[in-house]
Amino acid sequence: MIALVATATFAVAPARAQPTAAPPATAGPSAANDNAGVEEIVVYGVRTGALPSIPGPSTEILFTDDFVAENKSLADLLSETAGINVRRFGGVGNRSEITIRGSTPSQVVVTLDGVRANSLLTGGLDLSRVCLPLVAQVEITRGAGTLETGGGAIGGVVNVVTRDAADPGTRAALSIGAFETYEGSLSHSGSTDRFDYSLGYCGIATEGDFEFARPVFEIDGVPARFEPDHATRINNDREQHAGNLALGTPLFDGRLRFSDYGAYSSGGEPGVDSQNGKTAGQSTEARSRDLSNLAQLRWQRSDPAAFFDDIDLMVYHRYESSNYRDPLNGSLEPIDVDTRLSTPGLQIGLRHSIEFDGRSNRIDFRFDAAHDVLRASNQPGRERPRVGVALRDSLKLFSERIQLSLGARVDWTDGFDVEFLPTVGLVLQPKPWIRVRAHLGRAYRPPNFDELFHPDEGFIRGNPDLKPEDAWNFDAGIELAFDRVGPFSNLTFSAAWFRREIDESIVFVLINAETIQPINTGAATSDGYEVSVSLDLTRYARLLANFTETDSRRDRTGSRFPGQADREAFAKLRLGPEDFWKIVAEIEFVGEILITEGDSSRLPERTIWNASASVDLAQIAALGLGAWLDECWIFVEGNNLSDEAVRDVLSFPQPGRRFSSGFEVHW
Amino acid sequence: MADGIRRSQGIAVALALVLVGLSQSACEGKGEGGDGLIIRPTSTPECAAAGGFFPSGLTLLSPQSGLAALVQSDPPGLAVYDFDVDLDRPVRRVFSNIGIDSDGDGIDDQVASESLFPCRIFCQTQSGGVIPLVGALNAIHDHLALLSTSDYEQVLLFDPSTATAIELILDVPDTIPVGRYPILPTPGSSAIRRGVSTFVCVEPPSPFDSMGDPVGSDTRCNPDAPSYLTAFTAGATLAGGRLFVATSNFVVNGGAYRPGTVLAYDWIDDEVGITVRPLDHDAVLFTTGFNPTGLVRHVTASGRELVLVTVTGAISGVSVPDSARTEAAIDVIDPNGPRIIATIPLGFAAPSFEPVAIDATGQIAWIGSVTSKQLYAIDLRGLDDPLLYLGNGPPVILDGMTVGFPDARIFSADDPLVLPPRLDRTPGPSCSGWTYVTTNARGTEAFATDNCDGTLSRIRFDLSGSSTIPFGRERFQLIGQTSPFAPTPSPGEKSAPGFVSVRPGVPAIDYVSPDVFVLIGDPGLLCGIRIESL
Repeated sequence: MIALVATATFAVAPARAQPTAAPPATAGPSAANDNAGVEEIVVYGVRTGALPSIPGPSTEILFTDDFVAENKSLADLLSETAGINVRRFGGVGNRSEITIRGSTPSQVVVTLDGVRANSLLTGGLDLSRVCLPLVAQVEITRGAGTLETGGGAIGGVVNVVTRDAADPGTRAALSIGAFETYEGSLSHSGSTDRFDYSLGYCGIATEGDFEFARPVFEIDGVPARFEPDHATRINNDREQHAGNLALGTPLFDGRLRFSDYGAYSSGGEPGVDSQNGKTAGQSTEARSRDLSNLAQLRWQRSDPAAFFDDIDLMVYHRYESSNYRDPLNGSLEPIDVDTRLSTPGLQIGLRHSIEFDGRSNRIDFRFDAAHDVLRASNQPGRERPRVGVALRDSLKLFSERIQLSLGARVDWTDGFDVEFLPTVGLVLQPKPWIRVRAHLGRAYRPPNFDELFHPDEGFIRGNPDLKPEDAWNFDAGIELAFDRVGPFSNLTFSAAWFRREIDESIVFVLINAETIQPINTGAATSDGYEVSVSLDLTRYARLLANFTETDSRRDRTGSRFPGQADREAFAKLRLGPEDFWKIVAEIEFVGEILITEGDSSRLPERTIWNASASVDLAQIAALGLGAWLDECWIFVEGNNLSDEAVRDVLSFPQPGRRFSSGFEVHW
Repeated sequence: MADGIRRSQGIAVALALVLVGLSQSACEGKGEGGDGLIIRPTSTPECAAAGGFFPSGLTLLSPQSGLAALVQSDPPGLAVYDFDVDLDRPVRRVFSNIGIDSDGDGIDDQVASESLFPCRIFCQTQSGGVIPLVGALNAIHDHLALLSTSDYEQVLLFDPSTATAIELILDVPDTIPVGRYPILPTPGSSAIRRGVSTFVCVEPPSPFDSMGDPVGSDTRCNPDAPSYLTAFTAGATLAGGRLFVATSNFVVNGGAYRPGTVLAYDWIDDEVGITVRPLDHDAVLFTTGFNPTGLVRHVTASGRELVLVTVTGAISGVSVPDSARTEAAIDVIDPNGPRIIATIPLGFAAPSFEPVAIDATGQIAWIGSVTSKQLYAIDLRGLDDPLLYLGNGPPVILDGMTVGFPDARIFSADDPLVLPPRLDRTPGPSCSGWTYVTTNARGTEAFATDNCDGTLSRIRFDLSGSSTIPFGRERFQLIGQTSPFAPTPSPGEKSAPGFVSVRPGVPAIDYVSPDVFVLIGDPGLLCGIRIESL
């Protein structure tokens, strides 16, 4: 990584003297030194490029089609991105959570087609419940997003956009992998004279049991091992089905669209690896079952001639139900808990744009209201309305060389004070190949239902006296794009520094010898930086790499936050003509992960290798598939090739080396 | 030409993919690459990492050995630490995992059985647990310690100097009814074991639990009478050639306590080795109150061996004020009967679960509180009275109300020794106090930690020249309080001090390391503090 940055820096330096295109040239012997033995010197030039446009000062977009035939999950995609940490609790189908720039999972708002999908109960979203084949793109906003989503976006916002009729055709995929895992998907998008439509299905079934190495605790060089020191992840089967449906039709100069995304998941809950014995203290009988559905009806109109050139009206209903039962709950009473959560809501978005003398001024107004309802068999019902109004003025000056946005949101959640959330963003792009971005904004997060009202089970309970978390985010960064730098082409480079000052952060802690309860723990600060680079090494070799360093500490004690690595790096090398075949090699470095606060113990750093190979059979004329299929990829993928013992959370093992193979077809 | 190359490339890659795909099913890894998942808990200059949270037991061995044995939870086992090192903190020398072996035959239960979950039926009907939960550790001498484990209900034997398990012969007389000791060898047989199962079928004299509800019948014991299997093994000690084990009989589901029991076994240590044999008479003593936990051997001035039992009474919450539901006491067992010969009531004291801390002169004993920042103390001198041992009647109550017997209470629930609050930082409102107490080697000072506010208090006492029982309260004086640890909750800081112990010997003469050692719960640490109490 350091070498790459140095290369970029070195290459840029001569560009000051020769800023425009200069193809590689061979210099002959100089006049000053015409000795016959003079070494041949190759001089490379620099040709600047153009940065793609961005939707906001802190936003990045991932297109899932860029990862065709790599058998990725949403968690995989996000974990490859700078500034994002994904915490996995196992393998396929097991829970995974996202954090951004040192946040907690509940400090990241994940939206599905613009509607908040975080659990009302626990705050975070289980990424394993989102099926990537049904997703078109993922929009990542780091350290911002409060204007659009309101409370919770302290770390940022991830918006998952499902496939629609914009990309017509049919897609099918099937893969078979380790631990008896089968994944398949089928989707189709199209349109008629009057309607456009999209529908898809995605399913996973896995036995899920895998062998794993157990941790060894070493104090003063003396190892302490569990007995036995290897175990099998048991009761880890899972079956998951997801589907989406979208239907659109013109209406009143605009477009009316109904969409629905539903997911069902059922399987074992092995729980923690924590004790001696063949079962390693895992839950042998615990099962969970959950169903979620998001339905939305949306009317959008774009008319540059109208006063409101964009109008976006949406009503939605989100529903979640879950059942968790464990008839053998250790020494405690059997558990059988039913939970239902629902949120009806509406969103109104209006945009008014003015353009004059090379300047444009865009005013966005947003109103949203929702009503969260919790019904559970183990606690009284809860309801919580929330309302937000936001206004943003985006000013583009000097042919968009300067983009300034000012905004504020007023947000209210029942039970808490009204919050005023200002934000300011600045983008400077003096040349198409260089961009400087900065953002400052306030965010807050009201406690979730679990933090407030978790039933008193003796060892754990909620805290109805919690105050919302309160944060200020600041980040600044630079982006560069070059068509050519020396022997390399299509180089993009970005670096960002960020800082978050958070007050009243909410943490579950021991409040006495036998009870855990969330409390407000005072002020804390996270800061760090991200660096990303991508370039073509040759015509058929593309390298992408990023590095993130995060330092999150409590202000009073200086103790680090647990749960995520202080350093993460990722690099990917893609070989081959990507429209025909590709071989992908990935290396992922994760630094030490603090297990608990106070620096008492850490999970060791790790380096993981992954690889995949794929070929589009439709490109092979001899097979004749091209007559029917646009694409027909077959692939083999290997994860954790060096078979490392991997854990993001101490008591939740992840599988070792594993392979999968399958195909993806598009016609 | 180019098309031909392209086609060949594609076919070759496709074939390679198919071959790899066909072979991949045999390549599932077990996470065995690299260095493994090695976690190195962090020690500090003053504190040694203990492994997991809330280490449950600590015993300091003789001054000559310079060792201490500690019970850790993660993984569960016994660790030996060396004090005599060039550090302020002790250094770990060896660790031994206690395994998962309910009958002590040396074979992991889950390995020994054809079934993956052999405990399902037995343990589910018992308490639902399938793992031994480590508890108190009592070193009898430098090479024998008793480790109590609940859930599997065992007393394990270890050499605390080396953390190695000690085998014993379990000998069950044929006079014992079949089924009374379900995990022991069948009556009339013996077997070599690594622990003593403390599952015993009992029929209580009072058929009510701490909630006042009737104790039901247990089909595994006596379906026709109130009965149950003993559970929640809490402490063990040796006295008078016998092994005594406290089982508190707490019922997790519902939070009630069944009548508390102390189990008695013959303990024979000869050239053959250690033999443990259930008594065929008075093998189960029912304590005067609910929840017997800590046991300690006490030798009176006249040389009489006794067992002191901490009977906490029913408690509804630890560190929670007003949680005492029934009265507490210190019961006194004469191992010769065995019989409970006396009891010293403490009132609604909710004493802590440890054995009482007996001062070096053997005159008084201390115990902390699990609900308040206060201490209790009793006078032990009256236990030499021969009248206590006459006959076979109920225990003599040493509260000053029994004619001919003194009031042995110095500090009790009605009149505790209240430790002052911490001034600089206060614990959260949900943590009202949980004290542990010990005394120094000379019998002049007591040291008390408070789990909630992180303090260490020193109490000086003078036991000289008094013949009146009990000692006057004016002889006890708080002489200092320090705050070596953070109050609860304080994420990221050392907090929740618990078990406290003083290194035997004279500080600065017999040793140069710290003299007071405290077990910290969050994170698990063994911390040394220099008090140099003389």
